[in-house]
Amino acid sequence: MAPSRKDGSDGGHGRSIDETARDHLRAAVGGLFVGLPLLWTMEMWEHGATQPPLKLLLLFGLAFAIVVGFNAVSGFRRERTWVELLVDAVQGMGLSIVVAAAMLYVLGRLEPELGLPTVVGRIGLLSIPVAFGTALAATVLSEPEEGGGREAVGPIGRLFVAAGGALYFALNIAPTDEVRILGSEADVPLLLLAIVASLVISLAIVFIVELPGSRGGSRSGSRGGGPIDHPVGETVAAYAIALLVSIVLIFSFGLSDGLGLRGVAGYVVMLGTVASFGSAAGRLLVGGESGDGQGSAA
Amino acid sequence: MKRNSLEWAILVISVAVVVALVGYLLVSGLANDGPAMIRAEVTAAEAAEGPGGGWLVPVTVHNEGEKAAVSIVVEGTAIVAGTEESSELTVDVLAVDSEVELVLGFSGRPEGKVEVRVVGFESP
Repeated sequence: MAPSRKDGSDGGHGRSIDETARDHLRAAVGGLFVGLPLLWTMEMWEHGATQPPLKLLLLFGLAFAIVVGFNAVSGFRRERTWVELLVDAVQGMGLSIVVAAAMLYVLGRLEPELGLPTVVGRIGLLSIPVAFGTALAATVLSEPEEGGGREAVGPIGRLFVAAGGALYFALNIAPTDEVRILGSEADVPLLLLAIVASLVISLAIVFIVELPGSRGGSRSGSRGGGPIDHPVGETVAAYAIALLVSIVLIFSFGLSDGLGLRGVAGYVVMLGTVASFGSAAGRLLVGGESGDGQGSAA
Repeated sequence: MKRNSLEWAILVISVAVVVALVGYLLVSGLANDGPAMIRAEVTAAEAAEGPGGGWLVPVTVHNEGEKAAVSIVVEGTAIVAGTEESSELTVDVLAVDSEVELVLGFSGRPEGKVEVRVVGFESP
């Protein structure tokens, strides 16, 4: 969701109207930062107008689930109940719908003569990247409260965030013709190379290269006993999620229509390359297990 | 959790827009199962004289079906100076319940009625 809440331990106290307004403005700005490239993309306007409503609903539902998961594992107020998480997510999606609608209107993409199906479809589809931005604003754009650091995120939570990053990155290019061309023209050895490159690069981003949020120091071993606590295990699991997100997107946009299995596989692998970078970037944002191993999972 | 009046207002609006969006997509998704139905018609009876001596005929293309259509080819034919002449345009995308206005050009003033038809389209 959207607004960052810095009232970590005193959830029962009300917030001033100024604070609320500032939080929601920050969320709206975060939504615009993340959503702008797609709000300006013609393919997104077309897909919003032409895709069946139930496919758009599926994507919207997926985005909602990811926003709930992201809110659960990030931010500074970790002791929210599930009801509060859902309410926050609804509020974030609502804000995203309003921001996306306002921006599309300013761009002249919501003319009344387009008809209600087009208007609603475009708003619904474009509210998704904006929603990711509003969720990110709660952590990235907000300052930590005094004495409070960012809590570490457990392995399951990190995979949730990986799905969000994968969806956002892949959403940027899924509707374009370039991915279809790359996927259909690549031969099998090249596709295998793309898979290996995706795994190696995302492993490097999260565990080897010393980027802010990366876990260079923890690359040698796992803190927990589960298979996805290990860097290689987490990388493979995050890649599988990136491929799954790619499949959902390809199906949702109707991009697989008329393609044979080989064509779909090429499409998924090539889109999965970008999705895997997104999953790595998402995990960078939330960092890793804390040194004492107390990070909580989603 | 205690909320102030602005938080309540934002929550109410958020619930309203999310329910409206999801409800609309759900209802229209369950109700619409038919194909695209594209219809083209000459909008104005009188064609307007265009630059360079040509004639411009406004045409409206509607999608009255239940699915969007892309790459819709619309052709207009008319008798100009005793010979049949055709003019063709392509509409990139036409969503459900939408219409788009086109202008078909002819080399001279059409004699009699301008016939328009949908040559074909692609179902996305």
